[in-house]
Amino acid sequence: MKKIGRGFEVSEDFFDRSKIDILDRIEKEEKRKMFKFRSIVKYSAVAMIALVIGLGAGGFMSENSRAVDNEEMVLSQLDDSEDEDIISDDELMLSQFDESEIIDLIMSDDELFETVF
Amino acid sequence: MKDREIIKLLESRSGKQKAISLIIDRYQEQTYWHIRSIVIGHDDSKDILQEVFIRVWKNLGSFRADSKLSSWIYRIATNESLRFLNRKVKIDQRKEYLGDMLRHDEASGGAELSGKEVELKLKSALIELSDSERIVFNLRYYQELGYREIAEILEKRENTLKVTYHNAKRRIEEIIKREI
Repeated sequence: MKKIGRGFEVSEDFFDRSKIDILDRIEKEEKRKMFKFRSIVKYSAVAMIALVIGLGAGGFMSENSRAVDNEEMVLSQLDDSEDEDIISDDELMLSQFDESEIIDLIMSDDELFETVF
Repeated sequence: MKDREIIKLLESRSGKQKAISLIIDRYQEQTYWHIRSIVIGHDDSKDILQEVFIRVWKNLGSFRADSKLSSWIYRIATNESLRFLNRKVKIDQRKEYLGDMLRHDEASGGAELSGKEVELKLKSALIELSDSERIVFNLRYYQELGYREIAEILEKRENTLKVTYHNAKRRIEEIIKREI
């Protein structure tokens, strides 16, 4: 048996089979849509995690660089204080030298004076 | 169940499945014949029919309940069929292509079983018409739709459709007379 319409014909069960095919395609479309949606959600979640990790790592790096800056500052301060120590030692030595030298010179002048006179 | 009640089913997810099943039951056959009268070949019509209902499924949410469901489906089917023809064959080669499809259909036994000589002649005459004349003639003559509904489907003015139908009828008569 055939179904006839507008001078054309199709097999009797054509529309039953066609309906099954259409519903089957719709189901596949739905699954594809769900898969696509899940993929979007999944990739968004991964991107979010990556962003959070990235931000965390960025924060850690900046903390580290701040720590390094601090360390450099401490070191430079230490250096400065050492320099100051050296300078002050030198100054002390110089001043001590000056005093002893002057005393020595005075003494020698006196001695010389004594020996001459 | 009325179309309005079917549309109401769309409000729930499980209802949407039921709605599309009911829509296919109600409109699949007439949609198929409409497509077939435009593209002629069965295999092409079958593929287009599937595409039409996939589109209906995807766009059910945006369907405006103030227009008729059947008109909306006819419009999708008409657009899909014309899109198919435009992709497949240029307008100036359209008659030749549809003639080949018709001869193929007759060779596979379709014409013998569907019988009447007048019907055969009418089919041959239809492929001589332009796409718009053929579509309007099919909707008016075979589907017995009113001009108002055809105007809604094709988004044309009723007067334009009346002229198109009149021209199509006159040309068919000429072609049939010429062949007798």
